[in-house]
Amino acid sequence: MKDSKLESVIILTSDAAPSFCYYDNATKGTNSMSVEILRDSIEFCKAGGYTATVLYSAKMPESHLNLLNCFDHIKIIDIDDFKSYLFDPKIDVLVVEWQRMRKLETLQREKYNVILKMDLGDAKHLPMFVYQYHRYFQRLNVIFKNIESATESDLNQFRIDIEPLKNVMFELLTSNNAFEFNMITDRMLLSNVNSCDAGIKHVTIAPNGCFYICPAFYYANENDTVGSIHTGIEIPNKHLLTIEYSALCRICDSYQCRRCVFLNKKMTHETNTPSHQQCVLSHHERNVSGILLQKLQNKHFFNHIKSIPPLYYLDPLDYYQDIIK
Amino acid sequence: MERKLIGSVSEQERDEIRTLFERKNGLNELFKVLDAENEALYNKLVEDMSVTATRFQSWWDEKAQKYQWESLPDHRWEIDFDTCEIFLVKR
Amino acid sequence: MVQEDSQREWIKGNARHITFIVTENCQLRCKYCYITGKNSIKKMPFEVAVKSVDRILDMPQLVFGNEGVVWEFIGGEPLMEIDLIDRICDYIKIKMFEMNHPWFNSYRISISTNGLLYDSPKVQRFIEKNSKHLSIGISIDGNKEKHDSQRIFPNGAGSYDEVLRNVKLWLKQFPEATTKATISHDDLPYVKDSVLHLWNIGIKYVNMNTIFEDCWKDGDDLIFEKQLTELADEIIANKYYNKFYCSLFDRSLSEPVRKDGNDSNWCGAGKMIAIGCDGGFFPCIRFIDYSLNNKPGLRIGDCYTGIDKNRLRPFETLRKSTQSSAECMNCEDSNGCAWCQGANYDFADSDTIFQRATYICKMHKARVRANKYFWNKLDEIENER
Repeated sequence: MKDSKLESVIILTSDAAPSFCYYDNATKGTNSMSVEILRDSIEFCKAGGYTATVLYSAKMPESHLNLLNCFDHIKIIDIDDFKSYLFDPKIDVLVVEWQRMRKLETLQREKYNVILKMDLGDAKHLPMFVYQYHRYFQRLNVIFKNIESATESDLNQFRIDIEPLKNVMFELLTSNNAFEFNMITDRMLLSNVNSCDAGIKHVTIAPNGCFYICPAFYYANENDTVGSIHTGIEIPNKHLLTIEYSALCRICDSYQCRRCVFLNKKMTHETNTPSHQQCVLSHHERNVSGILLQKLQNKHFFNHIKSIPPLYYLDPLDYYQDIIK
Repeated sequence: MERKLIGSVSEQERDEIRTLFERKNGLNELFKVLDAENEALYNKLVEDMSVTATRFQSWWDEKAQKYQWESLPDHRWEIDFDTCEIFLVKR
Repeated sequence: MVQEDSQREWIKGNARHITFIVTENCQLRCKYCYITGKNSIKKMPFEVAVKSVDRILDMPQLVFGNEGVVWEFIGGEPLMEIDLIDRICDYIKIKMFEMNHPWFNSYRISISTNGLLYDSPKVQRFIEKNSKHLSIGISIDGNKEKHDSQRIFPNGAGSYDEVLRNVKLWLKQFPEATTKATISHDDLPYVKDSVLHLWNIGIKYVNMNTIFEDCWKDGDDLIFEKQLTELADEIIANKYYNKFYCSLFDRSLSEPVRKDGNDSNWCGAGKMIAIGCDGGFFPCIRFIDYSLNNKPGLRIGDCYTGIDKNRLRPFETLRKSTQSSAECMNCEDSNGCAWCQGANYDFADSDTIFQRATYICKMHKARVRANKYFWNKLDEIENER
């Protein structure tokens, strides 16, 4: 039966496909999806009218590519494998590990959708990186890999490290070099929370043919399945994945935060409760966006956008406790 | 007359005597536990017991003076920590 | 109905509760006991207790914002480890004094026991030594029929007679003591007589609740309602409401539900800390592995690394509204409807604390009907006067 809210499906063709989000793909071996499961996955998408995002591994068998070539989908590809596949910069996505960011220089002069994966400690390099490489980006999503181990001191250092982004982005946005940047421009452009909506708007089919809320749940625990292509999707307490059932997220205005339910589960044991680190990090980003927007509006740019007011807290739990009393 | 209401104190005053009362009880029960060989801690305890007892008595003396509480031979004052009321009670 | 003593006393419940599970062993095998993993192997090493005390006394987030602390000892049967409890209490007192800790001026020691070892010389010495700070609760479920139908030894024999012997001594030493009795399917027919019996033997304050597990059968609610209305008649006829307390009767249950009413969490899980035998910290005893049938224990830290604040965050946002179904939120009988967070977690369809178990629904509604009967009748009598 068609799921009314489900919009898209992520097809994980191999355990070795690049991680494009907050999970580590090194926990598994090199299992690949069989061509039968891939065919069933494609059929599932077609039958439900779901759009598909396919995670490509380094070497995809010919049989798989033949199937995929006849099927509209978004590709997610590691920058190392970029040249092996047909790539449409307008819709497809490149994953770049920070250590290999110089590979961007090997790309043709086009604008790309780039997911940059880096450690929190490398955030200090971001302002210069953004300034130097902005011409490659249609959209830049920065994903910090080690949020869960961040200390208060790391979080404060992050605030200091990203603060110069407001000046870099000011210069780019006011000089016809604009691009979408999840950490900075998303908050300016959004008017409500931009949830990832894993389990609600999209689910993942893993190489074993089972459904998972997102790839992260598969890599963390293969038994954490929410159905299979043959039995359908069944997510118990699915409502807890929605923002309406997250007491903290529904009062939060760090709209750019992806509300990663996997990180929530991993760190707080509950999909509907974000960790302190996630909240503080998002608020530092939000606050830089707010200052940048103020600077832009002072110069009469983006005057149609609602300003982002300063807050007295970095963690909405503090606010929650104040309003709930 | 076994127990007669003779006055009351403020909540802040109640909190002061409750803390001293609790401390006195705590020190007395600690006294049963502490080994005299642990000289430093033992001396600290003995000194604290003396200071607390003095402060405890001073509280009653000061408040009795302040509120002019009635007193009788063979009677003592008691406080109800919930209501802040002071009673004169036969010993 | 007179007010329950614990509601009137000491710092009005604004204390942090720290619970030590000193042993997972118990002499009894109570049929309804949620601790299904009893064993004679796990007991808390003294060193673990010391580490836990050190860790907790050094956590400002636990210390401040509360007016005091209750150091609780539970099991299994805690009095089986009275020597250990004695050592831990001595250590706590010395440590608090040494540190000039604010809790030295505001602490209590509390033990929940089945009462079997209450009269032993060691326990009696402990009571004498800690008399100014100690409260002890003995579980006696009611009359002999009710108690012996549930609270049994491994050989099946009831424990009532042995417990009652010690209840008399207990009430002499703690005249204001309360008991917490439990109601399950098998002993429903004894509820009325049990409450009356407990009052009769001198326990003025009786807390009683139905278990949260999926044990209720069709018709149980009607038996429960009948028991409660008959009890209501007895209370009114004999004016017991002037002398005794029973938690089954609460005026709020007879009143209409306010739409903007209380949204707070029913239980204090997450505000208290339960310390397992191995030094694991849990939101309450019901989250420890030995209390759970379907889920793994849910740790929030341990005595070696402290509390993981992220693990406490979900508990901070637990409200009635964040874990109840629309049916519960709109229920006209929801005043006083209880839940147990640990049981919710154990019974939930997924690995979450945000799904309220509702096995007690019919039983609560029966209690509401009986409360309406009781308070209306009592008000009529009061008005006639």
